[in-house]
Amino acid sequence: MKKFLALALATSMSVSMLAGCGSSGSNGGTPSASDAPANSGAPAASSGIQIAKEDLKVGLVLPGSINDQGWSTSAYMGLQAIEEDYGCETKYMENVTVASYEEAFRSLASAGYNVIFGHGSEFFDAAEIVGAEFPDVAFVVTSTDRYAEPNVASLNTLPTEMGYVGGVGAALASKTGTVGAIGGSSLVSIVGAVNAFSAGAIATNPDIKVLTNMTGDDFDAAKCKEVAQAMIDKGADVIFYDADAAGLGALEACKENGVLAIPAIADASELAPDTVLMSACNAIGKAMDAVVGYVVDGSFNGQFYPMGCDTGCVFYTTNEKVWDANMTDEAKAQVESVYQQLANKEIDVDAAIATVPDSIKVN
Amino acid sequence: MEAIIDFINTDIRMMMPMLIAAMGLVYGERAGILNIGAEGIMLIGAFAGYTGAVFSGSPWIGILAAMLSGGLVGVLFAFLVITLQADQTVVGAALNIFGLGLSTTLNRVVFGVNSNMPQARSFSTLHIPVLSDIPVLGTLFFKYNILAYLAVILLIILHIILFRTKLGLKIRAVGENPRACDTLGINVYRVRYGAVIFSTMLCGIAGAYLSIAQLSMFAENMVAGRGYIALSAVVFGKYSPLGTLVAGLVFGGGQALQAKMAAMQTNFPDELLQAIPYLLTIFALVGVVGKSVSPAAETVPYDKD
Repeated sequence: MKKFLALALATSMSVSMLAGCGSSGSNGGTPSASDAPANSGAPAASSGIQIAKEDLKVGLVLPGSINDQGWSTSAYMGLQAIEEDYGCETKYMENVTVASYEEAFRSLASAGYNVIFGHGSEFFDAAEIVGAEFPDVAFVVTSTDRYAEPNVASLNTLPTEMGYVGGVGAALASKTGTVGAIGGSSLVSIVGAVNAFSAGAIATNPDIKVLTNMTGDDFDAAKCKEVAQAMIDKGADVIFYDADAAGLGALEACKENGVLAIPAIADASELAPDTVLMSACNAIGKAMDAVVGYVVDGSFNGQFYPMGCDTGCVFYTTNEKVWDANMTDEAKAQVESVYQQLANKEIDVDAAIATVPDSIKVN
Repeated sequence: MEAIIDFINTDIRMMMPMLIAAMGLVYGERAGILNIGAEGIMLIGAFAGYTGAVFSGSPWIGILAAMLSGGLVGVLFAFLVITLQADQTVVGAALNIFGLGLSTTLNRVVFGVNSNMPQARSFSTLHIPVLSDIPVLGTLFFKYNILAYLAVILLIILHIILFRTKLGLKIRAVGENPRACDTLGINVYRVRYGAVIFSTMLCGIAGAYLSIAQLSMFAENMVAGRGYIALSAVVFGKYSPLGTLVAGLVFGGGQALQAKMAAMQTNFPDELLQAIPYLLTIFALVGVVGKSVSPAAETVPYDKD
């Protein structure tokens, strides 16, 4: 009897963990027209997948927590916007581990979800396998350029363009001539953003010293803070970070030492009004919304949808007070001009990254 | 020279949460209870500490909240493994999952999802007049927050209690031979309950150290494996509080090395840097320290009848 009670209690504790998987029910809100960004390279042939607005059910599989203040949060917000824009049923699954990707996709597809997002390049293999099993379901994998016709598309809100803008801003704001960039887990998108940061900084000021590091995860804020502190001790006076919740640790180090911060993914000016110089943002939600639009209008295809500065899915925001105090008018104009050049595809970011010295590059 | 002092500063900062948890765990393990749920309890403590500090405006209230929440989980754990004699490893593992789930869920209930979480009032670095201004020694020893000093004082007291007092003898005896203790009139259950609840209280404080002393924020899963490293620190430290200090310095050193090397811009691969703390842990445990003997009755439930 004692053993049984113990087992029952232990089981009920473990079950509480499952509460993390949530679902937001269908909402009959007024479907407003989605402001779909202009897509570069619109598909010629359609996949044959066209889903009427009222039949739409959108699923999202996330590698992290919906509350990571970065990567997964931004996609979760996108899902909420989709629910509002299309009045459709949505469901998310969070903290899904690699071993469960296929199962997550399969369970969503079996439950009738017909547009399913996997948020991160690491989802591609699973999407390809499950995509073949469910040819009527549109699968979309983010932050990769790999796709599988006819129904597995990839969507990338070019993190390299995001990092590049940040690098330019950092190089212009730095007085010590040393800047730092911290990435969290070694994912393609984060590695790309950090390397593009270095490229942007070096392109702006060839003499700049760039310190870079991947900390290895996205939740150890204390470690991220120490890494930022070590960079600041080495003279860095602007720190760029792309590490979700752990990045907030880097922000604290910047605050305590009075150096400038450039957060990635989402605007963080409110978190540290005296510290954030600018935010290099990535509107994955807007891009997801656009792809759902393609599914509704029948133009969706298993192809690569790159969405960068040209679509407004990558942009930067400035924190006026700090921005004005640290940037000359020419510097401000230069950041804006780089942004325009990126939007016009006049800067080859990948080529710029290739010129970054190996000692600075992360992988 | 400055680099070395810097390194030691970082080492000590990184060590603290592991050390606080480890010196508590020593007591539990000495009494015969292995609590591998330390990680989960630290997470609950980190959240309770942050929440307490945010709503009261005082980090001390945060520490109190963390201590109480840790103790509460300790009561539950003790009831399961001591009274109900459930398997300590299984319940401990469940506690880790429980801690992650509970702290995550409560965080979303209290502070919402994707909201700008308020910054907690945290313990700031103490500037002690005169002492902090001594060159070298001042920066080396007097540049921490108040909790760090209290932890070291507590560590010494705990060491003395465990090895120099009757209470310590009782705790150690219960972990070695509970049957003999029972025949001598020692209430094995009571001693074990006490030791376990005390150790989980310290685990709670260790979590709060992360959220409101080292940082002033809470992030889901922010303990990031420190609970497990604390468990190995107990073994590495040969089940003595002072031993965990040595272990803490070594493991903290691994983390400090990662941070410092990151800023040096060598060609050293980041992956290897990330692995340093864990490699050190493994090397330490495979016998660099010599034989570390666990208490004889550890993980063995005691049945009076």
